[in-house]
Amino acid sequence: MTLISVEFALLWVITAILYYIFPLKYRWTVLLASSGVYYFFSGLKTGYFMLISIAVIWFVALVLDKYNENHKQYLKEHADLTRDEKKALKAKVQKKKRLVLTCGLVLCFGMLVFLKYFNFLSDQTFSILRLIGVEGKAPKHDLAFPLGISFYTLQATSYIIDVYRGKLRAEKNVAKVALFVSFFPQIVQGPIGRFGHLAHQLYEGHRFNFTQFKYGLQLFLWGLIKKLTLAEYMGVIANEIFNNYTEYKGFEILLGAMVYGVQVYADFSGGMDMVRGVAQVFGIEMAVNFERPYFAKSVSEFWRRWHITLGAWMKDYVFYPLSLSKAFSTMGKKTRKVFGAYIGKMLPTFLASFIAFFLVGVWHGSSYKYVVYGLWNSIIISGSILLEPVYKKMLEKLKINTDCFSWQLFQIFRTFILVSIGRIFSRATSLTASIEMLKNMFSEFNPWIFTDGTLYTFGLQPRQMFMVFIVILTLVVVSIMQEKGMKIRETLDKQNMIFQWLVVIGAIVFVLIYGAYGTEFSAASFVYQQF
Amino acid sequence: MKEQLMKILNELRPDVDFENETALVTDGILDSFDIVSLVGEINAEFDITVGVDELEPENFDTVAAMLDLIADLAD
Amino acid sequence: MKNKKWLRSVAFILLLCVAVAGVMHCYSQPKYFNTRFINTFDEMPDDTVDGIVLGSSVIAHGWVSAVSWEKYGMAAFQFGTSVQPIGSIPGFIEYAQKNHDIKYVVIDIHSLRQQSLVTSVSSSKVQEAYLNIPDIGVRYSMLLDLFDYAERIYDFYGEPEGEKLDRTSASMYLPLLNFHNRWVDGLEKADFVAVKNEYLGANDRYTSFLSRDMTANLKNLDFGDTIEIDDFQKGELDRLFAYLDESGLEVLFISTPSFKSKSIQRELSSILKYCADSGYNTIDFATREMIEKVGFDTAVDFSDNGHVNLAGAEKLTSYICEYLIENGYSYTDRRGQDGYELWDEGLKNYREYYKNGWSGKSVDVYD
Repeated sequence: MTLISVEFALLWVITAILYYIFPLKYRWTVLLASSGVYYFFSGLKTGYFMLISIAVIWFVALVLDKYNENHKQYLKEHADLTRDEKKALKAKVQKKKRLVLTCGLVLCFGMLVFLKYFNFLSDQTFSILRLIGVEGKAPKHDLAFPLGISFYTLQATSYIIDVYRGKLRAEKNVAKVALFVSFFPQIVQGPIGRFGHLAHQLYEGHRFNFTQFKYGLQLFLWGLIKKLTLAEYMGVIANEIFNNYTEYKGFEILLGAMVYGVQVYADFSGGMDMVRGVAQVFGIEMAVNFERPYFAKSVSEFWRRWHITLGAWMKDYVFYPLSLSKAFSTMGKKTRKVFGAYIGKMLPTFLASFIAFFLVGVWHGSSYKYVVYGLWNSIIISGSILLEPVYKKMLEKLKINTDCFSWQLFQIFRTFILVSIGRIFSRATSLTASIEMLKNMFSEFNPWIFTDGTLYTFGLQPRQMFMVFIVILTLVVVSIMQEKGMKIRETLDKQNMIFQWLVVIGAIVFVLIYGAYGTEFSAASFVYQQF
Repeated sequence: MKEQLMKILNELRPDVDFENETALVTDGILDSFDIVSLVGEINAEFDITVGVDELEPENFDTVAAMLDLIADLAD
Repeated sequence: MKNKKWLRSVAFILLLCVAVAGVMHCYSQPKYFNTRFINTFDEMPDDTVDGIVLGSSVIAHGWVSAVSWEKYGMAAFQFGTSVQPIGSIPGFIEYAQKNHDIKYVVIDIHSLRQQSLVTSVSSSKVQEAYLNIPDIGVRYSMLLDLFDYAERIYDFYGEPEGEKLDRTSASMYLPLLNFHNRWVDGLEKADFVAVKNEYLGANDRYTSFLSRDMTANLKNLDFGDTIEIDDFQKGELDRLFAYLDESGLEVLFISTPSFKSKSIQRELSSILKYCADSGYNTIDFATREMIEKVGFDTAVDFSDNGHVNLAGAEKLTSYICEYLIENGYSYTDRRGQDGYELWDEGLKNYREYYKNGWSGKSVDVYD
């Protein structure tokens, strides 16, 4: 069930009506039922994988919680333990907890890895075996992809890890755990929520709040605008260039990458706005996934503004645990001896970052191009930290002022280019294609493509380009306002009623007329939907 | 203890005004690399082990919070 | 306080509905080549039109109401659409009968060709038929007829590889989904307002004055004997016959002159023969004798191997009118009567247009 469809609209409306009719205490059951309906109409055949995940994390969390509570209780009752005794007890409990957690993680991630990567790994293994003369057919499965498995697995495992860390109490009601995992707005493309932030909002019934309701609808509309009047059109150009990459050279490749960057941003963040709008109508605030990423002044900052919940998940559950682990600290001491204080200290952190971005890449799909995509980002981030002292000296020598606006503008532009190049890896049809595209990008110097009419040869006509330009301009203005801390919907709310009405009705009419729907466009689909 | 901490912080990020900032992590002034370096230095300096569990924004948003954390773990 | 909020919400929703309805209305004006013809018909005063001519683009090119009016005072109008699906015939008749006492109908059978059947129910051809009907009720009842017709075609011949007519597709019921992208090519008056044809529905495209020599193709008319048409074609014709019999209309089936391949010409003749064998009046123009009898000049009167230009259309129309009169169809000479001022005016415009077009002067034609 795609987000832009009559079925989804119907589901949303019926859920909203039922939600506000039901008594407060049971409103969460409406959400659970809707999620069930949503999943039923989207992929019943693979629904049992999600059910397994739910059962596993519900049970594991309860066990971990029991250990935590027993441990606490024991400490309370035996306040006279020595520091060493406390340490020994803690170690013993940790060991048991670790075993349980590992089982849970293996089961959940096991399903994800098996369903998503088994065929690819099998192929690769057998290719290697063939090189050394071992013949055989790579075993493969043809199990369908459960909807949203990449997202809900991360969300579910964050729950049991947080319980393991003692940050959360386990939820005893399995139906409530099911709701947390399967809540329908987040299934297709996130955001990857945290139990601490999301769960109580799901479970406590919310009273009808007219302002929240209105804001939710407005946010949904804004997302719809981004999706239908920007992303789809950018997609026409990006598809033309990426799917026929051998025909394009020089700046055309860069254009394709930048256009794709706009497309995936409008598509993904538009989808996020729609999802958050859907949830806000129920009074539920879902995590923000984008914060004007193209205003980032460094690739590092970019990943704090792009797909925020994925980055946060990697940070909290991969990067920090790895880089703060005993193994990595020991490694750090060794590398310090070999490479000196500055680099040596950073190397284990670089490795942790490397691993985290490797996982980010791999999470996007089972293809080498995604791996390179992840590593490209890691290399730039780690590289820039490594070269920081050199870079600083260079700026001093060239007497460049780094406090002024023009420098910040340069940083923003530079980051956009770097990120766009990374995009080539993620969007190209294969790793070889992406490498060839990069080669072609530098094979010719043709900046005149921006003025000689080439822009109209990618499938969009002049009027469409103009309309897209207007939307991008609006998006930039709104983003600047948001960057300065302005809350758009609240500001709009303070204006005269007629103005508010004109803006909203104008936006709806705009989408009706200029939206990419109807017989000339296939059903609006999301770039991230296959995850 | 505060002087040792301030020395570490200023060496790590001389561009940040640690005395007056109140949202070092929440506002993204210290990024994850900074945090890891900082934790490494703190562990070495104060002979404690800051674990992943302690990496809450509340514990690192202000210098005072960091001092509290160190005190908690040192005992 | 609370009531005010709800009141405001209701007012907002009403305003929104008005805006959306406005947008939908703006983008529901069809703009096909035959839209102009049907808009001209729609303007005619009630009870002035006596007969209609139905069929594919051969009729849209081939019937000149101005000539039937000029020579015989015959008020007959054409509703030709590109590859017109036979299943739309009841709908067109119903639409015409809403405001006029229609007595006779002339039907061309080109769209019953096997190769044309699946095309005739593709969404674009279907839209050219039903979307142009100004009367909403008839429009959607024709659409439903066409869905059924398409089902019957798919059942017999199998579903097409490409796109098939989908009765659950929202775009069939909401023209907005089809037309809202018009802004890309620039908007003109015809996108919003019903523009009509100034020549009583005579062909106003560049093919009106185009001549291609078809003399060499005359041999395609020597196809030998007719054959038996297949069960589907028979079934549809029987169904049509039943409908026409019940309607009480006087019927004439024709096959306009064409010079396609021998097998196609044979099939067209065979279809017409089935009509004749079933007891209906028929005129097969696609034979050497008829070409001669009507007086077509194969070098001048045709714009391609399937369509006449205006010169050929005038001869075709004259012949059909005379046939109708001689064979006792309910014809009245309406010249001089009240309510036909538009016909006189249209005739005048048409003659000017015809003269200018053939003498090489620039005329306003559509692509």
